Amino acid sequence: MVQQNEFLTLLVALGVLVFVVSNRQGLRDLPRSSLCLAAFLVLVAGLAFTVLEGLVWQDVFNMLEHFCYGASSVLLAVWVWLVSRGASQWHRT
Amino acid sequence: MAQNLIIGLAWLSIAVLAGALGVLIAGWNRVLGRDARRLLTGLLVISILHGISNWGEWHGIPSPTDPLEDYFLLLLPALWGSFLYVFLREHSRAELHRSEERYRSLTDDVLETTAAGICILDSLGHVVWVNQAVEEHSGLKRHEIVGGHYVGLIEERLKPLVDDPSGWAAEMLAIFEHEGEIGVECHVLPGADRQERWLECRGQPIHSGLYAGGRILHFYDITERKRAAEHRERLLKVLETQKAELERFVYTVSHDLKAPLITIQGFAGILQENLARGELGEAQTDLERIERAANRMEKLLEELLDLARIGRENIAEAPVDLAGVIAEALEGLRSEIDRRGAAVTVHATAPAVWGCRTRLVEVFQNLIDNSLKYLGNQLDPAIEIGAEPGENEVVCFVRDNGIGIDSKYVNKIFELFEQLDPHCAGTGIGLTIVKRIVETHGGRIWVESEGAGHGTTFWFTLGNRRPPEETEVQDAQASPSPGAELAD
Repeated sequence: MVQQNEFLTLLVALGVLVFVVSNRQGLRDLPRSSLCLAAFLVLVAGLAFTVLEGLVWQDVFNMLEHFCYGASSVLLAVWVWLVSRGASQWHRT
Repeated sequence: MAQNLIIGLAWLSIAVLAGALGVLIAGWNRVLGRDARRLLTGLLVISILHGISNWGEWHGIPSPTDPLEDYFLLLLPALWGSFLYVFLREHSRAELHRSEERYRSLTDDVLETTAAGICILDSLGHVVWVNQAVEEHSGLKRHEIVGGHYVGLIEERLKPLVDDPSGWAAEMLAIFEHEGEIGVECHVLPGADRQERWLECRGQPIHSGLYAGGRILHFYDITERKRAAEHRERLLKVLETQKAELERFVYTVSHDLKAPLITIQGFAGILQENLARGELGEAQTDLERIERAANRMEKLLEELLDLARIGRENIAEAPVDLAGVIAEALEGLRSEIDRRGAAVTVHATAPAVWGCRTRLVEVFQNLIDNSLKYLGNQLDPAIEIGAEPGENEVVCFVRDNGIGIDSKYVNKIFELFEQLDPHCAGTGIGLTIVKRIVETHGGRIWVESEGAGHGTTFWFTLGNRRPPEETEVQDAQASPSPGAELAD
């Protein structure tokens, strides 16, 4: 059973994904951008699994969902840590 | 198993996110802008709460996110989107700022300090920007130039500054009508707030950007180039004159040296015949004639060598007292003056001049000797010698009441081997030597005579000081004197 809030969250995430794709050139200037965007994409995958979980293979998708949330968090944290170490290289703003 | 894994993942994410949040709060503030940092902090906080929520969900423990019920999860993509959007906005602003800085650096550090003047006109012909060099070239302040229309600027402000204003203004106005690149030269006259200089203005259309349809004008200072070209022209003229002199010299020398040689050859043949006939008295006369011809040839060669040395030798220059020079010259000619019974008067009131004493004595000796030779049948011969101070120079003269010079010869007498009286003793080199010495001393020489029988005055000037800027040209004029090769 698909929950309304999960579906709405997925829609918002997909909207952000469209924004990311359309602005990928500018977002490349983000330090270590691939890691940061990977964190976001894994989160989107987690949100997608959340929706799928309500339709089929509940256990599998549930597992994948939480795995993606965890991986996204780890990637985001690693990105913050790496960028903070190399902050002197960028001085972007 | 799966439940434990999920709980473990939740713990892991909570732990690393908390660490990342700590790093961020501890001072990670140089990579992102202020708003992006705040959103990232919010994203980390929400991610931690999400981890806690997941953990609580499996343990049945109420989570801090419960009041937000099911829509808490919505915050995550929303914050991600906001964060990335704000980053892009801040990044664009930073890029714009850097671009402005680059432009400012370009204008302030490069275009403002370049030696070439730069002037930008918009499509309507208004001056929108000029650099520092334009101010220096024109002597006008920037606020007097920028904003005005170029036609008014040229006609009212710039035209009075240049030589040939009408021609220059017409050419400058044509720049704006011309589609391609065009160049105009102008001579900026010196003024209170500008130097004299030559400028080359090159104008070309602007095809793109804010001032598309306008013109960019570059003003290059070509003063040094112009001066070098003028200097080269002067040297070329000197070279041409010297070449002509050299050709004339070679012709004259070969002609005049040939005369005693023919005499020697002729009398050598006669001598042989007289000896064959045993006429020793005639042979003695022949030998005397041969000796005289050889002596004349030797004198000619010595004087030619002396002429060639002038301007090439390293003479010791020093302040020279002209009264002493005249006295020395007269002393050398005392016997001849006495023989001719000439009355000599000296007016030497001039200050000391910078030059070579020996050469200046030679000048006066040659001129006095020349006067003595051409006194003619004057019953009351008189020679007047003077050296008086003039304006930035000393004016000297040697005047006699001798036979004078016909006006048609006054320009010829300084030429090599030119003699008014071919029967008169002398080689015809003396006045050429005098002229050369005077010129190497930065002076000039001329002769005045009211005609035959009215006496002659030789005038010459000597510089009080050597003008340093003309030394090179004078040296160039003087050094390769005709026959200089003979001295080597």
